Amino acid sequence: MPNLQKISLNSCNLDSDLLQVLSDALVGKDKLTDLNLYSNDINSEGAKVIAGLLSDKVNLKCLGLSNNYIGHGGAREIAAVCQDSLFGLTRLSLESNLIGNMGLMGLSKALIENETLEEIYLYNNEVDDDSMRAFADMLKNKKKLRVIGLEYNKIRNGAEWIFDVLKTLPVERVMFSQNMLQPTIGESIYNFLLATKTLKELRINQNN
Amino acid sequence: MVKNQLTDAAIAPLAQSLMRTKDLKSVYMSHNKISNEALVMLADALAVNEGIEEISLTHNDLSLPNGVRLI
Repeated sequence: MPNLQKISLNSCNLDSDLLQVLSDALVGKDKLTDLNLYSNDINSEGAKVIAGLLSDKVNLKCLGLSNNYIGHGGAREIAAVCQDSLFGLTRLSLESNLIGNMGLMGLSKALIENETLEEIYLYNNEVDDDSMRAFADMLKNKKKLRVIGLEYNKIRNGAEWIFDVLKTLPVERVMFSQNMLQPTIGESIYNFLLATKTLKELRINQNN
Repeated sequence: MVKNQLTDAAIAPLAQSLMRTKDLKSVYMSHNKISNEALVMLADALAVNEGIEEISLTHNDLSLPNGVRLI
């Protein structure tokens, strides 16, 4: 399959060893635009293998690794390849991966120059306010951002920085459900809603 | 071919077809409980197909002994 562009191997019981086989099989497949590996057995070691296989995939647009357990170490591996090779990335899905604040700060630093990102999904990653400033700074130049998913984390007042940045971006879906947003966030959300001209869906349910 | 239970008897002719077809761009075979033997047939077929641009094998067990060949 020399012309392969999109691969979905979700829930295929892939572990680090099988990922290495996949990596070998994808050598030279530089037309790859989509790689989806949701719900496998991918830990930080597996993330390192994935980062290696993506090092020459400069045409990759969509990377889906949700529902694995890459951790902050794996997030940093993915961050490094995002910074060094994935210059056209539009969708990054890292839901339920235990990346934590360290992982998100690493990603934020790596994606600071990226101007192509349209969708980022970080549901259930044990992140809180400590990584929100860096994340907000990273978002500032994402002039194509349409979707941001941060549900089921531990975010409190740090969401203010995010909503402040989102006022200037073309976001259509903003998801903050199941965090710990405080009453004071109301003014930030109000100002965001006044400013946005693109928003279609706002999820802030179950914040208590 | 999503959410079926394609048996080896079904996979065999399918694999033969995949070897010959040149216009097929996308193959979706998720949720199919592809057997270890069928994995070999598919792997051999897909290896020689130069037209396919998109493949989905979601929810199939590629940790089976022959799963590696399909990858």
